[in-house]
Amino acid sequence: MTIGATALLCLLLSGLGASGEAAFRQALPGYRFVFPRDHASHPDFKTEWWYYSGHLHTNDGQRFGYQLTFFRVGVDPALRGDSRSRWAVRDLYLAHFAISDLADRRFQYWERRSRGALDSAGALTDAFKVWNGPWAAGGDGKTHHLTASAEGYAIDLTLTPTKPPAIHGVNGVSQKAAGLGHASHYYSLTKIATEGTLIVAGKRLAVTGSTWMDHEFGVGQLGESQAGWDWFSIQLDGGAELMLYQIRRADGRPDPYSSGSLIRPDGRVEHLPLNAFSLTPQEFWQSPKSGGRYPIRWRIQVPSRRLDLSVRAAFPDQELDTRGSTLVTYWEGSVAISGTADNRPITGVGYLEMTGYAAPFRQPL
Amino acid sequence: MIRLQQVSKIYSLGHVEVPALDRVTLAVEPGEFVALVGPSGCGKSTLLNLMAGIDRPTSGEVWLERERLDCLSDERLARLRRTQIGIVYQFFNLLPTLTAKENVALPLLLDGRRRGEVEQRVERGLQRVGLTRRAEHWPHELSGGEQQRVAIARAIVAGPRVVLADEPTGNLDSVAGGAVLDLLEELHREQGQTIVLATHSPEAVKRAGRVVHLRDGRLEEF
Amino acid sequence: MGGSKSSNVHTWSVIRLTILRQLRTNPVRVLVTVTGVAIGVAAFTAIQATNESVLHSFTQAIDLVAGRATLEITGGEAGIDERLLPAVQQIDGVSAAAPIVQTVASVAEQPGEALLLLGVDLFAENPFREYRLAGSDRPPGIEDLLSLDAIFVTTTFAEAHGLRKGGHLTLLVGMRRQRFSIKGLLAPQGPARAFDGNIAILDIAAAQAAFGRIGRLDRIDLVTREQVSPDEIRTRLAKLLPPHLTVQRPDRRGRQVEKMLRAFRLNLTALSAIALLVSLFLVYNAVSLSVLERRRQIGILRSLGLTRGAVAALFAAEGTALGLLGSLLGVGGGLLLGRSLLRGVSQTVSTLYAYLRVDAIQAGPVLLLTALGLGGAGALLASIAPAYAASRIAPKDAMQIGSFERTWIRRSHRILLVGLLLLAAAFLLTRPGPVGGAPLFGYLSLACLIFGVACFTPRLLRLTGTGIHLLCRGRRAPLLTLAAGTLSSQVGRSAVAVAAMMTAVAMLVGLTLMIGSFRRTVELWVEQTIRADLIVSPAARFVKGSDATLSDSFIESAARVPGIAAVDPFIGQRVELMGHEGLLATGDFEVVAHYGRLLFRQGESAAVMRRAKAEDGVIISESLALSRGLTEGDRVSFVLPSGRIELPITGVFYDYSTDGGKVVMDRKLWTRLGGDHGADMVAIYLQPGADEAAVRRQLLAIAGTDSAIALNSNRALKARVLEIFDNAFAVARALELIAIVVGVLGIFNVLWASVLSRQREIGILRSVGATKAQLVRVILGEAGLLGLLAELLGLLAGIALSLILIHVINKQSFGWTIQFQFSWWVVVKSSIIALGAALLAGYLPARQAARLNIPAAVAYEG
Repeated sequence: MTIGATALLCLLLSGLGASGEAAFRQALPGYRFVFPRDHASHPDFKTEWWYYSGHLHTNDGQRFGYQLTFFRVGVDPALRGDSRSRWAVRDLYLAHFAISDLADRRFQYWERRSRGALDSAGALTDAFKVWNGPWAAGGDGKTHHLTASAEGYAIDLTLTPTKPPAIHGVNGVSQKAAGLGHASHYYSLTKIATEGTLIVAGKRLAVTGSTWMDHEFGVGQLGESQAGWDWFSIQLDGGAELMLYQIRRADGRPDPYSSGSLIRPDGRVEHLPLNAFSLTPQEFWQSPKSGGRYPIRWRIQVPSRRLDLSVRAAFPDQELDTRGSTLVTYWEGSVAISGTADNRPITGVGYLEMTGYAAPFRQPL
Repeated sequence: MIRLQQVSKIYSLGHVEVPALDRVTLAVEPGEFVALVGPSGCGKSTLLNLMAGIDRPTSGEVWLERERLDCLSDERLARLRRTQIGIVYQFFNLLPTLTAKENVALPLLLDGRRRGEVEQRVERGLQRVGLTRRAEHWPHELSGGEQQRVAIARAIVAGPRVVLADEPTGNLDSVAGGAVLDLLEELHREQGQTIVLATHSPEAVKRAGRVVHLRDGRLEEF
Repeated sequence: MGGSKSSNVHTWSVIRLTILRQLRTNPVRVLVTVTGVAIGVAAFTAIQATNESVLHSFTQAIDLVAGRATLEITGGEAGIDERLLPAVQQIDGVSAAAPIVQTVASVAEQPGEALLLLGVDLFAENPFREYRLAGSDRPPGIEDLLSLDAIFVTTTFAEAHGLRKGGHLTLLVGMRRQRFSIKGLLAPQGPARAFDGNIAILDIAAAQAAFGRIGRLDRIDLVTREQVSPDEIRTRLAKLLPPHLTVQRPDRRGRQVEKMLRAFRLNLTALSAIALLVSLFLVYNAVSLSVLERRRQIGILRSLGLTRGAVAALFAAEGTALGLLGSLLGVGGGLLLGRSLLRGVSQTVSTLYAYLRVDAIQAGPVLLLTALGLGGAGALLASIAPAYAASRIAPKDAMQIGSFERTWIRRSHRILLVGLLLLAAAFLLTRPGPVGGAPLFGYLSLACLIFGVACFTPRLLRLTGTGIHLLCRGRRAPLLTLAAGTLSSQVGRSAVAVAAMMTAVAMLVGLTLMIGSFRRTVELWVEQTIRADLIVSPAARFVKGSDATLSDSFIESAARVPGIAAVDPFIGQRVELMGHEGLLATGDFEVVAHYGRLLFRQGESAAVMRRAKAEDGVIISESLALSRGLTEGDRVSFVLPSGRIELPITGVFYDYSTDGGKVVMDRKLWTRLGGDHGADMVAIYLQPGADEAAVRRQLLAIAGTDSAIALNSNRALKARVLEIFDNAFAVARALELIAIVVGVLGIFNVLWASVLSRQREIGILRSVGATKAQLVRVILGEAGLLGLLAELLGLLAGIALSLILIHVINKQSFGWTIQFQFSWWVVVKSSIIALGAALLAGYLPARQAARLNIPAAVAYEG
């Protein structure tokens, strides 16, 4: 186990009750989002991330999924004391970048981490710009621009949101565990027209498609009894989107703070508490690398909307096994949707994120 | 003068014990010229070595006058040899790194005699053997007979009670050998020097006053 | 020897009957010779292994600390502005760049115990190095990593100092005592193995704060893409970086260390080669004795049809066998000896050159085979002459006594001539300059000197023998006469033993004189140039490699302390000075001119200093002047962070503090050129009548309560300089002893053989009335005469040796001018040792002679 990696792990998992908590602002009800200001960084909150996932295709029908995520984790100011060193850590920055080649069933991923010294990574507070080395996301009020590259793979995408931001939770707060402040401020851009270039194994491709963006800031995610989560972003052909997350408790049952949102074609957001939906794993895949056993086909039911969807991984192996570095091993990949809405057949695309299945966060022997 | 009483000498060669002398009893009176004869290996040299105090008997007593040699310390024996006993060997046994004169002087020098006395005695000794002219020569510059005469001078230089000669002519031609024997005979005759001569030369035996035969370590006197 | 099979079989049986029998019939000589060779080879092996270990430790540490880095950027002591890092990272072909600050700290409780502190960005280390935590306990949290007092030490270090995780460690870093908290223990892997575990890891933010190096890096490590050649990347970087930064492969640093240590290592190697040489004389001697003793045997073998070649081969094989056997033992012993030398050598290298920590002896197969080969080949070479002599013995000669000796006497003229030629060569070889910085001709001159003087031994032996003989003629000194007689008549066997012992004595005398002269010179230099009343430095400076400095504010406050007349802040930085590493230093020239003093080659100290200050000139050390061919009025150039600088040389001064050369400039000029602030140390001059104790208290008060500054009085500093000097020559002194021991064995061999071959003579002496005590005195007399001759020749050779060492080898290796100082004490010391050793060597043979059985000895013709 390397020192840096261990520390990051602790950092990400420190979650509730971590030391230095008091130094950070809590996500409290009544928060009013203002855009584009809230696209920018919120360093007074301990944890923040910007998440993009999308489905791209070329003119000749090659299909790809991509994911680009930037994390920012604030560090207790007491640790850096009054050090004038540029290396004194205020925030740690992490980033993940993944490409799924649906035809080849090939999944590639990379990660970066940085202490942000000398602007090697950062996130601006007065404008929307977040970066980690050469990977960056940013934009003005109208479009976002994503760039990332690694080992012969790259994206350079221009994103144009077609719907207003969907704010999740209730009263500006997405609750994650019991207790005031154990929550985050969380919004999504659920439908973003995407075009640009994709480089796959050194080959430059012109692509178009659609992207989903999440931006969340608040405290760490998991309480002590919580083992992991399953998160779905689904874009249905009819113009509606669905976001669902289920926090799994250590005893295997869903945490009562699991919830979701349904975004209607007109952009209106309907909060879905745990009792408004059900998630049923239907098929499993065991990762040969991490040994984690992931559900790769789910049944989603939202009875109030008469939605009954089957979520199927585009291909099974879309696991990010980062035990050698950040130690956060998770599954994040492109999924295909089919099912019925109001008894009429419906299809769609989506991204599924599953954490806490692979030897969860324990030091290897 | 010299008395050997029941003297035996046994050499150990590994596990085998070889008797060299077997209960030999012999007395040499002052002024005697005794010839010790017998075949090679009969024990002649051993007998002489015991008399010279350079070897010790396995049993029995060896007396020189009032001194019992087999009981004396190495130190005392060495001192006795300087002045009381003169030895002449078959192979001359001069020290190659010393001149004739120095070889003769050696016993006196070892005894710490004063310079004047040494000079005088060496002079006389060399004169006695007729080699005054050869005094400054190195041994390898002398003939065999001359070397043996130097050895005799060395043996008598301190005026010993007895001269022990072990085959002194064995390594010389008959002329040189005869000269050496003449010299010994003169010493005996003119100075009354006691001499014990181990030899198997009939020429030598003729000159002795008394002949003692040794066979297989036993005495057979005639 | 014939090549046919039957001939080989025949050869083998002859060998079996001769050489192997020799082992049984002459065990003492075999034992002594083998021991002698073993000691010589051991000395050689030990020195080489120590050298190799020191170097290996350096290169290994560099490798381990460099990790997977393919290139590194260094900026000397000026460091690198960390703001360059992003630009470096963006260079095409650079896949990762890691910032590094490092320093050497001293453990507070154990001054002198050094610890390399490596400050790294723990979050960016993955591409470079791996640190594995020991134990299965809870991994460190973010607080553990990022708190400003966090440190990770190795398990090795923790065990040695009784530390554990969660405990504290106080270090002298910079000007301060700093308390660190041990957040974890590093398993011995990767960098944690460097310097035998005396290394600790800190996060870079904490490290910059602790080392007082905010904004600066010591090094940037780079991992480059395999597709791009490192040279290409170097070119790209060179365009970007300021000129004082160097981009190189990490292993280049290893080569620089090797270069820096070369003179030091070469010196030790040369000394150990002398020990080896002495032991080869021993082989020559042993084979000669063997030939002498077996003349009769050779004659018989020759008359039975053995060829000349076979006889020569036989004896050459005997010598080689002795040599190989000794070498085998010597290599093993050398490794053991090396282990005990290692501490001393590594300490010296640490004090003089660079921080080093080495506990394990490293000896590759190449080294071991070299030592074996040198021993074997040397022995073969050494036995050629006696083997040839043996082959010249005709069947009839063999029966003649002393024919061998007479050949020697005939040859002694020719040998004398060779000796004179060698001495002339030794003299001429002192003229040429160094070859690539190494005084190769100087070493060659040493060899010629030794062999040349050795050629005088046969003649001298004869002369002495005859002389004593003439002197003692007729006197009551029969024993001395006898001893002298033996000497002159046994020249052949004695000459080589005397030569061996002479070599040992020469080494003793030469080194003692050289070291003594050197020490005296340094003493004078110290006396005249260390004038300050107090020297203040960060306590961490006690360990080499520490770059702790005193702050400007401290220096300013110190200057205002009542009782202090002047302060002279000194800074020294390693820079490249015209091709080689050297020291760039600064001081306050006005203060030095007024209060201090340097010894200049030309001109008076104060005047030169003031002129240098006025003309913006520099003063350079004599060693720099010599090695770069510089003189007053020339210009010296070097690279500073602000660019390439070229300055005129105002003066050349004598300096013994470094062997790499030194350039000193006034502090004002230094500041103008953008040099660093602060000082490595401050020399303080007191006002007349000032209370030193009060000044000390004041200085400590200014430094603050947690400060770790060392205040040295004038006397203490002088003592420290001499202490370092003495440590540096400890190994040389050990080698002197080794050579003496081998020399003694040579004399022993001769006397032992002499006793064996002169049994009949001894028997005669005993039979004409010599007592045992008298006999012992004769043999000891011989031993004493041999020792005396060895001493006489050794003394002369040693004086010449020390002159070559001083005026050629040291001058060319290090550039130091040493005033030769003769000391009568050397004569006394070496005489006592040589005579004592010789008598010691004679003791056993004398005892053996006294035990001789007289009848057996005189009975036959010998």
